[in-house]
Amino acid sequence: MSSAGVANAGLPQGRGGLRRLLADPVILLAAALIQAALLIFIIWPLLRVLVVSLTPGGVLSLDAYRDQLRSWYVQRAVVNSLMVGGLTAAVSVALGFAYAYTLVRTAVPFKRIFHLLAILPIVSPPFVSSIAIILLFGRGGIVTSGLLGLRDFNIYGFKGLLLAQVMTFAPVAYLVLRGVLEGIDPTLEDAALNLGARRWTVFRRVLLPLAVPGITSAFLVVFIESLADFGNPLLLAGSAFPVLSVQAYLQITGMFNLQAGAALSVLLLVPSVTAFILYRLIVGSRRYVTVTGKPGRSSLKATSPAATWLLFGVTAATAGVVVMFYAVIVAGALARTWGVDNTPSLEALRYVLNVGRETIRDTLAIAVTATPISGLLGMTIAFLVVRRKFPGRGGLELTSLLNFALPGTVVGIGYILAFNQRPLLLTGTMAILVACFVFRYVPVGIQAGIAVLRQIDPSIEEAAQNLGASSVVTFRRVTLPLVRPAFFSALVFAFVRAMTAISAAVFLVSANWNLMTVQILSEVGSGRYNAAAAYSLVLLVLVIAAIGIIGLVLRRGYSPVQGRFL
Amino acid sequence: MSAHVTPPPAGEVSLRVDRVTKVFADPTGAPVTAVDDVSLAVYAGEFVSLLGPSGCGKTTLLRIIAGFETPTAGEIELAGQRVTHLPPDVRGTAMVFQSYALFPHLDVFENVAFGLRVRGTGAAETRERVADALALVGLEGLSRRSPDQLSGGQQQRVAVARAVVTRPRVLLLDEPLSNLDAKLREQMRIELRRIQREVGITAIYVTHDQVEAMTLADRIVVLDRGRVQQLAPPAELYARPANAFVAEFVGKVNLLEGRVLETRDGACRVALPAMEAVVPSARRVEAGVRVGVVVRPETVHLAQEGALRGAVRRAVYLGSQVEYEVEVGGELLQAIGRSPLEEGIFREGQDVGVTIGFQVAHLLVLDGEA
Repeated sequence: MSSAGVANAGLPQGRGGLRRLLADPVILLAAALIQAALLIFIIWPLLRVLVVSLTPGGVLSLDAYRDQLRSWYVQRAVVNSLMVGGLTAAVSVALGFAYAYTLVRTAVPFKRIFHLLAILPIVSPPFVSSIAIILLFGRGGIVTSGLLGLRDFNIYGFKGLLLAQVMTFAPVAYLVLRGVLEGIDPTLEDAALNLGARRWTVFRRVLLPLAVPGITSAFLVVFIESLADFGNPLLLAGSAFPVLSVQAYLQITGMFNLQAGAALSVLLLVPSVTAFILYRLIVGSRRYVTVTGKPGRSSLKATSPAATWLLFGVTAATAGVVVMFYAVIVAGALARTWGVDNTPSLEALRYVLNVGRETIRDTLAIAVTATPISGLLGMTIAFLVVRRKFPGRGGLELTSLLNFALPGTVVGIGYILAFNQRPLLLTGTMAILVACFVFRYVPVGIQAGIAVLRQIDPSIEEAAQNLGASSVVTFRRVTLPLVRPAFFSALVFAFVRAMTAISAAVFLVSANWNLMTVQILSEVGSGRYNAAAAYSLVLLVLVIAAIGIIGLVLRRGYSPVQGRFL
Repeated sequence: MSAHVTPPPAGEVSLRVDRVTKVFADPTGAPVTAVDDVSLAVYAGEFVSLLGPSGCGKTTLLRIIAGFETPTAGEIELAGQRVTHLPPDVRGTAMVFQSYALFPHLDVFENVAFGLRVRGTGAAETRERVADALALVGLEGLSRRSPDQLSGGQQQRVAVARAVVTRPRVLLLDEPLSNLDAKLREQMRIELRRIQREVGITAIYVTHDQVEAMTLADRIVVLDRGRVQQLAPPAELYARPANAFVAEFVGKVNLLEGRVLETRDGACRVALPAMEAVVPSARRVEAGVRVGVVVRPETVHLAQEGALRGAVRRAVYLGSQVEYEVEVGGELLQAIGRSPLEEGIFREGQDVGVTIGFQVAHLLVLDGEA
């Protein structure tokens, strides 16, 4: 029997599977359309970057890379990018861990406020820290030149960039590590204490080993983000401290050298993708655990009072810096001329709302268009990946996630190279910005959707089908309501990023379609710090209002798992 | 004792499973045959249970009938229509899932109404049929509760109401009682049987619990390693198991191995290690053939007196009865002592008289079957 079983194992099942697929053409069609879209908007631009960088003068060669790497300035940029990435990641993870540990594992006051303060940088444009740092410590900064009277203090360069990136990305590390610490059952620590281990031993021998995969993935995520960061280095690195993302941008917009820009962006891509592969290996080996609804009760006894207060001090100091940064943004937006005349004035805000009205409208229109598309696409892909079998399923998940690892600079350059001729002539349109945001930020929705779906008993959807609901009806009436928390996260994330993104978008804006973030950079570039601060303030208010609205629309009714994002 | 084979129930065939085989790839890619050449016919209004240990293929078979799995070979017919390759939503089967699979975002009413709504049933009719279904399972008045506000038993009832309200061709139940505690399970068993009779629906019930299968089903299909071991009404299954697997899976058993000495007058004389036995047998078994004698523990009686002596090795007091293990001629036999209040209890180590009810035992031919 067993040999007969082997013999007809492959063929009839394959035939039945195909027949079943054809019986459900909607799924097949959706899968095919999504795969085509991912090919066009993710793979094709990436290929264009590679092809252009590898074929200078129309022949296949590594000349573009050789030329670039021969220059000591580019060599410095490579070293600087990697060094800042590694240091930012290390400091961010250390700070994020202390912050998360304090909030999850100790009994200290003001936890809710500390949490919200950590979220604030995540929903801000990624270079708000830089603006705050310039307002505080720059040439006209209130601390350096105002308070201390320093005339020749220079915040630009390595120090300033590291500070800005840590303040920008430590919150990301905090969120990842918070999830990790919440996932470790505190009864394990209680058990270790009960067996006679001292608190420090418990931390070192129980908690830390359990948290290592999470700590490593937090490190890699921040490393990827830091490498890809464009706004902070543009504002703070200065010409004496070149980094790759800025150099690639300058090659293209300053020198109109697409090849050099493409080659530099690929140099950025290599460490990024390497880190991403490591990250996937770590995350992929972790099993999803079903929520049992039996939370382990934490006794919060595993930390000594001295350590608790030390941690509380670190947390409070970090939160204090966040408060200071945002306070100075508000102050900057409301000052007459920063550093010269700090008396209150609504001039900058009035300027932004008048001169910048069209930019604000463009930004909102693009974000409002990209958000629902990204959210629905994310949920659909998550559903297809988790619940359906079809040809190319593994490729679908991988492609959609790959985009997460691509530095914005690569994506931006890829888009201008890929969509500058018919039939895909999109440069200068709203569509190119929407497409960029949709496909760039869909991975977060996919990941959230996959995580929630894996926790939902598949028989709930089977029950719907069994009762006569087609695939589409099942998705709309059962799956989508069930993944609402993930849907919420996906929408919020897509909106926040569409409003605050810069590294890819800076290549794609045009006279017709400009973005607030790009405008902020240009205001800083022209020395109009008040306007930059005012733009940032308006942007922040819009983002927070939008999160509230999305929450109101979606939060009614059932929520099986609390949304992770906020 | 006259008819050894029960005639198949008469009537219209509601479900036909025709030589169905399902081969899966295990995680290493090696093929695993979950369902192996299974055929059966279920008649309208019948309650059939698929019984077997975990991994025997019973749930896979149920999911093939529902359309969640496609068989590697074979066909499924529902009410005469071939549905093997139809998607689940057009099959008209209704399933009660082991986990109930209630929609957590819908209240009780909307859960039950779901199947009607997706069929486009009118509002008034939907209301009426949902109310009837909820009355059938005794949940009137809870229609606006959310599933997580219900007890396990109530959730179970909602799942049943949701399934029967669509008037399916067959009702499929996948271990529906396994998440309930023992008391509730017994109560729901009776409820399920009542509901199935009241609605007159054909039901297929998957379980690994032989007591559930015995108390609920008109006929039981015993499955092991994907193959049908026996298909018979409960009483026949218990009295005349088709093989050693069925004998041991359904109820407790003493399976005594021996060789046939002779067959005469519808009975076999069998040489067992410790004794000789005369066991009824419809078929003629040649002398020397290796056989197993199926002796149920309740047919082994212990008393002070008796020619055959044994020693009590274990006595487990259960209130209504005592379970014994008694050693007879080097062999351990399970026995049941009834009504210990009246008959008393034998102590471990005590010497007792043993009477074995060979006249109601069943003979299994062990040789030549493979």
